[in-house]
Amino acid sequence: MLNLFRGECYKLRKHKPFYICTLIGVCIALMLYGTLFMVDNLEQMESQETQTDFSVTVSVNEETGSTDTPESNSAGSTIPMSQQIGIVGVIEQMLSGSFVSFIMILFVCIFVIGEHSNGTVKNVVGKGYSRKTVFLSKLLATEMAALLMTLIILGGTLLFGAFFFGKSGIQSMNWEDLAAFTGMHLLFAAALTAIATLIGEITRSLAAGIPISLAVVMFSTSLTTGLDLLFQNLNLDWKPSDYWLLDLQTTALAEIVKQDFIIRGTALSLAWLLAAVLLGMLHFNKTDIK
Amino acid sequence: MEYILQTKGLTKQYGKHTVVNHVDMHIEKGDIYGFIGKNGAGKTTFMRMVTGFAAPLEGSMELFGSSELEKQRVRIGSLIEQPGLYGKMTAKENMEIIRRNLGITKKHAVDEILEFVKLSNTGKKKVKNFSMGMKQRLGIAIALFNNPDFLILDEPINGLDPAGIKEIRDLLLKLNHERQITILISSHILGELSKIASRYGIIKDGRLIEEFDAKDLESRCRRCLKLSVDDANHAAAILEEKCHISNYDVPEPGTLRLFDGLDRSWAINRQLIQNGIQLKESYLAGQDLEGYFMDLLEYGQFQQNGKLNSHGTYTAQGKGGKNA
Repeated sequence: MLNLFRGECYKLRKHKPFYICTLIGVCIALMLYGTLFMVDNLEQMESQETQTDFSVTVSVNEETGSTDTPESNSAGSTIPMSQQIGIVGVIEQMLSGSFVSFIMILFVCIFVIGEHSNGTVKNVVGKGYSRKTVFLSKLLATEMAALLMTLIILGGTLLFGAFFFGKSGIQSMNWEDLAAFTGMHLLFAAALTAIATLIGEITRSLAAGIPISLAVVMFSTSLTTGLDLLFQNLNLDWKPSDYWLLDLQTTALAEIVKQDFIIRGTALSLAWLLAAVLLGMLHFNKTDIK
Repeated sequence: MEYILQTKGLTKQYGKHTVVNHVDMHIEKGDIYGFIGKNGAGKTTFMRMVTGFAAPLEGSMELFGSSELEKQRVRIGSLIEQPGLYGKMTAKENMEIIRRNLGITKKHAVDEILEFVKLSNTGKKKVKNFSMGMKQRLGIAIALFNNPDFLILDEPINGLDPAGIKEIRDLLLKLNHERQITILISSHILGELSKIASRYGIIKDGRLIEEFDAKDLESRCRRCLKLSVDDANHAAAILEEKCHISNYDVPEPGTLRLFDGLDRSWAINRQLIQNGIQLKESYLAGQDLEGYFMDLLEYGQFQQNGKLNSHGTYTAQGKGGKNA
């Protein structure tokens, strides 16, 4: 297994989609910051325009003897969007939102399914390794790459944050919460990677694997919300969204401080990870290599 | 007799379609076994079962005399259909992955194998830009990397130009002679296959209809005088007594094939007629190997000069002698 893992690591080093996907992730973080500051500028411009309008209004009001308007208060007390969201907000957008999951899943599909579409899986199967070992080594390398990608994107987001917000932005962050949040997210990412690997293993086609995996990221939370409502209408006290990874991921930051969330999140991530690994292994063991 | 591969009743089904049907194959050590069959006859599926890419529905197989297949498959090198290559990597990078996967510690092994298949000078050229022949040779390099004792090649010369075909042929002969590697090779280019194969297996509609060696094939394709007569037994007796010809066979009732005396066919015909034999036809016949295979695949000629066993596999009944 160690030999196979070494081979996978070498492959990963030479695998361009890994670098491209990681770079895209970092660029998205940069774009998010850029958008924030663009919104700040727009708001600033809008507020300046409002103040100009206000001066006209005041002049009208002077005639009536009134100088106090509600607009004057609101215009003066606006906090810039970038300050409201901050570095943590961008990290939350990146990790708890779909950005990193999308990129990660795209990479996993290309990496896993590529073996079948290139036919390179035939170079490993039947070389003295059991199918189980082949699958596990592939999964292990994919997990490693996906987690590395997540950490690099996180690192990039922090770096850009430091660049845009300066020292004060970094100092105002709660590092303990961020560490817990990152840890939780890595667990979710590991489980999600295993699920994407399973989908890739079953479909064995980029044309099917990528859309299915992306659909899981995009629509699964809507589906669980729908199911929640359905169960609620049926007077059943069970919420599927409580057990689905992506739902947990979207609520991670808000609930990170709660210990029971960490326990539940860890247990569910491991359960999903284990289920995906077992199913993937079973499928790889039973299905013919084309 | 040491068998490298021996299968018994190997069967594979996809849905309701039986792709490989009770195949009993025997490959001896040192053989270059030419596996012949039309498209969809079951060649690739059979090879995939041997290499472990597909699981058989029924039947058993032994590799190197052992039924511990997973363990024995380490000794197999294979190139099934297209070689499994990373198009965006160089030949060396592709081989580096294989080296690591196989746990080969010798770093020069990559250069050596690339040198062996004449791909050492490809430098930074990406595999996707390789010619078909280069890709096939790289596929063979991958198959050879673990120093296999048994090489399974599925149509390795498909799509190659004559020079490429010759290169692969020379390479395979070199491997067989110098490294004593047993080879199972399928190809549609029968003439080419006949230049290297020492033994043949013919598969039709999933059934292995015949297994024979190269000498056997040669004798079957020999030039002969084909006679169509009313009484083959009587004609045979006349041939032996009056014409002193014993090298003949009776492939089907009423037909004789004479392998001697081809230059005095007129005298043989006269002798038969003078002894009361009704001679309906007399002509010189002979086939090239490709024609013989085509007849076999098209018309199932095997039914005429042999018998089918319980699984439909043909058993040859000797050659050249008195098979009447």
